[in-house]
Amino acid sequence: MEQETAEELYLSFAGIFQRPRPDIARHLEELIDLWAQEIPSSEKVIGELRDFCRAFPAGEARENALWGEYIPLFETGHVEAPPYASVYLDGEGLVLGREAEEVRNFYLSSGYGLGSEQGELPDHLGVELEFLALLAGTGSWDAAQSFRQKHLLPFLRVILPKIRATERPVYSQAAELLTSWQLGQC
Amino acid sequence: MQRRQFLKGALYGTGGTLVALSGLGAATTALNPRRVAAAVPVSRKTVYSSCEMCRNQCPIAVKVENGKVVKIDGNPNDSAFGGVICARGNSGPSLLYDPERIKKPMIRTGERGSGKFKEVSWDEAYTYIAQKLKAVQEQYGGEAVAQTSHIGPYDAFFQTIGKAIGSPNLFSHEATCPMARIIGLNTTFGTAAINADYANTKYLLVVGRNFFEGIHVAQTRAVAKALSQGTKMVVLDPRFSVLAAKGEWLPIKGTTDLAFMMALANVLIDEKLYDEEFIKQYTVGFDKWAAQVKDKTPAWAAKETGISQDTIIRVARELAQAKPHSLIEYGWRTTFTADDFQLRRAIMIVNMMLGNFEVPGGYYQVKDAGSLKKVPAMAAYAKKLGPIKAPSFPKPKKGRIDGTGEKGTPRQLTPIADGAVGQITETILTGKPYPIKAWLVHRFNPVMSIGDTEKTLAAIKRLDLLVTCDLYMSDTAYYSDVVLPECTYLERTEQVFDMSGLTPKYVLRQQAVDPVYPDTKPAWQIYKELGEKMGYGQYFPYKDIDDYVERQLAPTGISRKVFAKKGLWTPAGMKPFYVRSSDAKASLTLLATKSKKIEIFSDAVQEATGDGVPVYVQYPQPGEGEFRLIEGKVAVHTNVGTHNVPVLHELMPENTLWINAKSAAKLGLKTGDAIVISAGKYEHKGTANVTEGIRPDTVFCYHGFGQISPQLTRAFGKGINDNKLIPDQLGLVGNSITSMTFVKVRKA
Amino acid sequence: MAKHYAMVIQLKKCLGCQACTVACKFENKVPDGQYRTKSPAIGPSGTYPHVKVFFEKQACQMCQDAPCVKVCPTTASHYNKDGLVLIDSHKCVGCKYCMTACPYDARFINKNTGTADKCTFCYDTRITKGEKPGCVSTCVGGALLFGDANDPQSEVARYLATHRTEVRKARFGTRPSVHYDYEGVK
Ligand code: SF4
Ligand code: SF4
Ligand code: SF4
Ligand code: SF4
Repeated sequence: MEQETAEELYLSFAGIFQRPRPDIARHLEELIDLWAQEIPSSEKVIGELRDFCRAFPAGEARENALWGEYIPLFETGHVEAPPYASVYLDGEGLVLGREAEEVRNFYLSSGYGLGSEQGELPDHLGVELEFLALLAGTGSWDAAQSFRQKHLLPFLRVILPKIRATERPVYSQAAELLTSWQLGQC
Repeated sequence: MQRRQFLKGALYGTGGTLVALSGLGAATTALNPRRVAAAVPVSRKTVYSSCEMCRNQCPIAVKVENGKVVKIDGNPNDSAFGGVICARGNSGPSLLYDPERIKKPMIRTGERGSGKFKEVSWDEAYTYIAQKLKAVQEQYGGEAVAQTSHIGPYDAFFQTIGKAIGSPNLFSHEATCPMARIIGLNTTFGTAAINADYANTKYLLVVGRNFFEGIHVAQTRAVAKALSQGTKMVVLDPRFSVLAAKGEWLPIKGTTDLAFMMALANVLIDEKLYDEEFIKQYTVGFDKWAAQVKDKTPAWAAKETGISQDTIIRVARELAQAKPHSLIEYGWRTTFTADDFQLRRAIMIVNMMLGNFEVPGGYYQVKDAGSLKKVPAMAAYAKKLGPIKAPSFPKPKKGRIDGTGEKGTPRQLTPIADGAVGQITETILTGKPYPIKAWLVHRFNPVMSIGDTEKTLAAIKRLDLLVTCDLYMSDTAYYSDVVLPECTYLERTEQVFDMSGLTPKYVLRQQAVDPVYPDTKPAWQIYKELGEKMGYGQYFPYKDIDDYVERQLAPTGISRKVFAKKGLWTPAGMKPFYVRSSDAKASLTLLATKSKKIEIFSDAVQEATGDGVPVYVQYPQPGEGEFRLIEGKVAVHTNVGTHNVPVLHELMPENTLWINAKSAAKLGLKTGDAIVISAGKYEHKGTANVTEGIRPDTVFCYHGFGQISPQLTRAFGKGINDNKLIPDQLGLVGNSITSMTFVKVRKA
Repeated sequence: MAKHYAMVIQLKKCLGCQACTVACKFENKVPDGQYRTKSPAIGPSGTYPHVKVFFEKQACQMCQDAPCVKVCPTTASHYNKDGLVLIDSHKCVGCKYCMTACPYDARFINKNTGTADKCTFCYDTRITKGEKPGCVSTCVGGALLFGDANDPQSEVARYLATHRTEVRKARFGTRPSVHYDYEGVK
């Protein structure tokens, strides 16, 4: 895969799995185009995504719909799939465990730190994907490979099935696409 | 191409989470491990602070490694605690790092109760709240805004909002818990700051309280210490609690404790066993009390209470024999009946008959700066905290919805700072005496704790605004319009707390780590910022919490460093001090009543209720096939606040209904059977726990289970929500009534 | 003289409050759902209103003739220089022989490390630093005593000399270092 495409794909998934944002919501159709083009996937998944876009035209309604899914899925209270790697990989079910620490160190070693603006934990799914986009964008293939193997893939293996199982619009389909791209299965 | 531009703009621009570190930069690909090591040094420190897994604020020592809390111990510098904390205190890190906490402010987007929210910035949340409050204020007046909190340091900031709006309707949760005791003490001693010296008592009679499951570390340890020194303990409780297991269990009939107290007084008078000298020197109105208990013989009380006459007489004699180092415990949750405060007064009156005031092993007035100032020999130890000067608040235009403070009615006795929190839902639903349209809630869960869950939910639907600030998506937060995320006690510093006992003591909660979720904030900051947004900045005249603490400490001469080093301050060299320990006739200059006497007959209570001394009221007992439903605490949970904390949930995910073996046999029930508990209007499913440890006419469950917020993943729907079955019924002084619900039980 | 660390549990004083249980979890990073110690209720027994119940703290008994050490094929389970039974997790292969051999059901396979785990008397984290074990120092009821039984001045030695205590399942001849005082509960 070309450097540029990899970067775009990582960015697109980072955009989806981070907290819903007006710009991402507005450009959702373009992300779907990108996925349809680059990831071997079933028409069903792409169709469901497009249905969502039709049901919720860009704007506040779409944003709220995304929030309505994102919060119970990732964020507060009934968290169906906590988006933090530590929760799964450290065995305690808690955030900011060793995995978070290691991921943060990896970022530092590649020259990145966490911005204070967004206030996110280092091992958030969206942040790890964003980091890979940065590595892909700068052609840091070795670092990218090593991060993928050590951190991203083990995390994806546990979290993606959880997200898919919720059957929440957009997120479960994005998880399916990410599975197919990263874990090589549909 | 266009697509790519957008993605990069979105994520690499201001929206990006990751930023390139200066000096390395995104273009640098070379890994530099040495630089990394320098960036993350291993650091270890211990931060002294104060626990908040329940409201007791025990002193703690938080071990922090690399910015992470790894372990919490008790603060060894406080001898009353001896470095001990309870199971909940130990589980702090489990709350701190829980992925289920609320992380950002949220505004509701779907129907109330649909659980649909969106996240917003703090500024958006403040603006939304401010606008809604303004609208309510303009249309209905400031009094249409009600505020409730559990009770705690946050009130200094939270309640400022309501006071600035001009609302009289500020409530604590006390009416659902200790308020009747507070009133009992206020009306007898002129202050509620009366503590018991459990550790040194020789004989302890406990009325329904459960030190060994409702854990208050210092007090629990003191009772345990007394027991290990051979103190005899007698426990009145319809249920065989852990405390009852460590003493003599007297399974008293519910709501008859006052009969037991009156009979004790009757025996003490009849057998001339009480401390006449004490009564003469320090009290007023004893003759009226004596007249009141004249016919309250042990034989009479035996019929009322179900405890034999001989036992009552024996307990009275044993108490007298050990006096003045014997004590009758005044209770923690005091919501048994409509006139519970009179039971608390009666308990304290019988205590005074034992002459156990201001002696070791008895009751004493808290030796804080205020009371010590009144004792010349001790005044030097009194270091009063500085006030935080702010302009005075506008005077509310109307009286409170619950009649608190109204002269000539029982509610004149209700503390203005507490009020009758159970009144709110009634007022919202009826609009009487006037409408309540906005409700601000801080760290409190009325849906689960003020009686009648369904009624509370119905009331919430009528509101224009419900705001909840909490750590979790509590049942009340779930139904709110705006949800604000507070950071936990481990992530914030608070003002100095006065935790005086036998000597003055100040404790400081000190931030141990940065907020785990960076968009959570401490209460002081949330309400200061909201206040500023609403134009009430003048009521928050401090820069931040450090400035606040500085102002508190300034006049005392106590350095903040003392807290950093030890976590608490007590006056050097001062020994525990009881006014009467060496001189039984010492004058009680610190007494806070106007008469300077302990008021067995209280003019205020006379004016408020017509009963200046406690009068016995007989309440109905369960009929055939009925049970009295009672509830209580368990050592691993706090009220309704901790059932979703991972470790604590793991230890106790669910409650059951305790039912006496004989009663269960009649119903054909075995332990583990699915049952339905019916309180008439409402029913609840549950599981039976058949036991010998409860009266045959009583059933029991631990409180706080069966939570209804589906967003409390772990605790949701597990066990019995007793609050659904208990009606929202208020006693004379506005206390909730929790021990007068009768239920039927059947197999599901 | 060699040390002999011992614990005394005064059952009369135990409240079943589980402060020890939770303290141990954080002190020793025990994974969720697993425990090195617990204090279950024994009872209630009797008939209303003459009822009894007590709580019995359970954990590794620090046997001086430990069946777990005997059966361990890799010498991972061993006596350390202070006579404590400890597990060297580098040597442990997770064969579970020790779990079967232990008459007190004190061991489990730590789901994070995959190796055998049990109470260590907090040897590394606290005792060697001169502190009491985590459970002992947080015990709300004041039910737990700990110290060197070979030092006649120690609290445990004095207690053992002046009280009648029992060891659990003495018939197995394991010579535990944890002593139970049942006075007042049986
Ligand atoms: S009693 Fe327990 S939960 Fe409450 S403050 Fe103390 S240690 Fe914390
Ligand atoms: S109690 Fe079990 S694990 Fe502990 S030393 Fe004895 S046999 Fe080994
Ligand atoms: S001694 Fe340490 S390891 Fe053993 S039960 Fe106590 S806290 Fe856990
Ligand atoms: S902390 Fe102490 S009192 Fe509480 S359960 Fe453990 S041993 Fe018993």
